[in-house]
Amino acid sequence: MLAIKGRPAPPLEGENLETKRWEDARHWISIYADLLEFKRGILNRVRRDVANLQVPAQKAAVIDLKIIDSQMQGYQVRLDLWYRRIWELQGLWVDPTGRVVRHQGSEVSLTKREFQLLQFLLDHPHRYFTTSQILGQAWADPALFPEEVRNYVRRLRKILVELGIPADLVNKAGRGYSLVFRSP
Amino acid sequence: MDKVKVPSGRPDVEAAVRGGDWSQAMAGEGIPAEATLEHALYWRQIYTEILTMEEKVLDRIRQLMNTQSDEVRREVELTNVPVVVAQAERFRQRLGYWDARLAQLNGHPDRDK
Repeated sequence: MLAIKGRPAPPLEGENLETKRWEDARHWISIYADLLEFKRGILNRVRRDVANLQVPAQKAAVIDLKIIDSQMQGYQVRLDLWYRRIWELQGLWVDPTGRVVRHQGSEVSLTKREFQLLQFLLDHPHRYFTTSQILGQAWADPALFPEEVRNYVRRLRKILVELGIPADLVNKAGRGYSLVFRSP
Repeated sequence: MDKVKVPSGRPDVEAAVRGGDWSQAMAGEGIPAEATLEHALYWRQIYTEILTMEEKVLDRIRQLMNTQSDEVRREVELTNVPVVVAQAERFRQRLGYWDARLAQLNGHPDRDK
């Protein structure tokens, strides 16, 4: 249903993507979110420290940065897999052919741009995108006006409410828009 | 190197720990036994700096781990700690070579004072 790009990290002990329990999915989402936050902190720390080293030492220390970065990519893929799973367990279905979204028995047909924006945000949950990133990445049309994003965000919010999808399309100053899951 | 536990099934970590091989010099380092005093002092400084950094990173990782869930702690213990420990061990060993060279050249290293 949703596109997952990249190679996932190996599963953690006790992790089972086939679970039928919504609580398990939430648990692993929070574990991967914590892991990403932890590694981001370490990565930033190492980056700062490496910048103060002399050039030969900087080159030798680059391995640390590469490893942490690649681990983070793997965790991000697993986080995305768990989001996909939680949407499945929630009964959310997105049909790209007919541009239809179904959730727990209700169904709505979307316009092309509504669908592209929703699909983009579902594919990148809990990440923030600026207006220009949405124009370029969700719609591949940077020439559109930023007002278009605000307009379509309003429309998508209505659709989320209409279908009872437990997610909010939030806007944070300086960061942009994100689809944030909440407990149903 | 034998001190570092390598988790099985984690090729990324295994490769990184192998990268902690202490026979591996940095680019331009040359052979300690042939180095001049100036060269030896320079490389001792380089290894002191990077070792200090790795040790601080390890301390920070261990400190932050205390506030994490069991799952996160286990994963970090498995994936980050062995890599940093292996790297630090490599740099400590290389620093030892340069300390020994400085002692040979009668430039007694500060850390032994």
